[in-house]
Amino acid sequence: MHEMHVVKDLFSDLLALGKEKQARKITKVYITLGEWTEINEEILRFFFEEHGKNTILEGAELSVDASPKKREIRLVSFDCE
Amino acid sequence: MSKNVKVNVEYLTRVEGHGNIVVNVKNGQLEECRLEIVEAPRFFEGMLRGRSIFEAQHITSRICGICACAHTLASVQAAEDALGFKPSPQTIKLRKLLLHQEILDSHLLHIYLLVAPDLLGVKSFIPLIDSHNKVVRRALRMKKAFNDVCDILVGRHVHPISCIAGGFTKLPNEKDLDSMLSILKGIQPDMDATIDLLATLTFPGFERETEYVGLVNHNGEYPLLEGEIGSTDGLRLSKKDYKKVTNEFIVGHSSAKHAKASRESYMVGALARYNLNHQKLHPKALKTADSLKLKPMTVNSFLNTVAQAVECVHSLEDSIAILEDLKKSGVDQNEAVVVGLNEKGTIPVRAGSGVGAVEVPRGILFHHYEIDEKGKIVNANCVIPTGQNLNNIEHDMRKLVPEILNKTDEEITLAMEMLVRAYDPCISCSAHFLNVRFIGR
Repeated sequence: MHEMHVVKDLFSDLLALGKEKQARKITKVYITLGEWTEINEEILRFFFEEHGKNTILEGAELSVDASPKKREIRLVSFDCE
Repeated sequence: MSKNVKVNVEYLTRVEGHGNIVVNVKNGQLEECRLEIVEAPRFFEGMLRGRSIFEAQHITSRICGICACAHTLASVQAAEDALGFKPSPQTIKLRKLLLHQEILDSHLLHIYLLVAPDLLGVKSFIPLIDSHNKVVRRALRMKKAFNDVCDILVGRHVHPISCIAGGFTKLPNEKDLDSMLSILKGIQPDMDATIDLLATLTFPGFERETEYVGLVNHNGEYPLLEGEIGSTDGLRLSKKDYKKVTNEFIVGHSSAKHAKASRESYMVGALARYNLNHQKLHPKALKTADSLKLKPMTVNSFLNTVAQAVECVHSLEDSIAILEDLKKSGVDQNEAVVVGLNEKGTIPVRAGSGVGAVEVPRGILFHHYEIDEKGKIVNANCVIPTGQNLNNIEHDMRKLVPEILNKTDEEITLAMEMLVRAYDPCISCSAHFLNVRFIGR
């Protein structure tokens, strides 16, 4: 459930930013994930894929790097066309 | 052509918290304000299906570790209603005593561990150990006292054992009555000190008229266990019609349903009960309300905590009165009780539907069961007070935020947290970790 809500917030921002940048498609999303967030990367990827369906994020690649801040999840940037 | 867009936004991980507040402000105007409940649904109603009506209270008491006795009481009431069984006056008296302990235990936990740190200027209960050691000791002493009374009465406070459909599997003897009376009378000076402490604290000023919903009755008793559903907007309904009050609906940002009755939202809990039934409180509780300057039809949700303190005095005094009454009349130890899953048929089983409506610490709690001719549950519905309050909390937040937009993010965060905490929501054990997310500020 925590992963689902993180993805929900992430998507809400990505879709708004994608619209702002007039993106046709978001192809890759870069996030950093701290080890104490208790967010399971596999579950996060599952919700990311599911939420992306029928949006400009459909099929987008998710790049997850370890965050130096242990309790942090950060949306760093995204690639779009 | 592909381009990279830098964003750099941190997300709330919600590791400890189960509630998040989202505030969206644009050009100094509040666009959106919502309380997100991200706790996963727990499907207790689904778990009840196919189980015997005689084990419903043991299952539903697991809904909450704080309100285990409250769920037990609503559950046995719904079960007995479905079975057409009328509990004895002695059983009702003992159940009231149990409900009082639940109210005392829960309200004091809220007042001392969750609200007092805010008002004494510390982040949590722990720093109070150094700064207000006597207060901490008193809080723990009182909590232990009410837990001890529950231990004597129903075996244990968390997930009680002996309170079942039909009555009590073990009834208190004279020695038990003396022990409970001694504990409760011994805690009276601590209760007086609690009220003195409350009188020194300043609660935020805030007003928003809303509908207050709770049990009402036609006798002189402050209704906690028995009565019909009433509201300050004039609603009067049988408990069987509880759905006409709750009118639950789903909102996208919360895994808990919202509720509304006569207007956009309503409030349940200590303040609602006080506004509906204050004249029926114990005289000492009424005096306490006067000393804490709590007036009838108070519309400041922050003062729910003060109403809880007033109810504590009522519950303590009424508990003592019940025990003295039981000592005078004696406890009839020969009442027939249901053993196990009613295999001996002590209570005749029939198909039916029953509703339990009990005023528990956070407000009116409904349990509704439908059973088949063998006593198996075919359908269950539990409507929890915090769920009923969520919509009202959001409406309060929408009124409060524009009034404090000139303050810093930290001050707004604290004010919002205090508002949510005032309702003593079931998420309150994690409410010091409530995340406030500001957008566009």
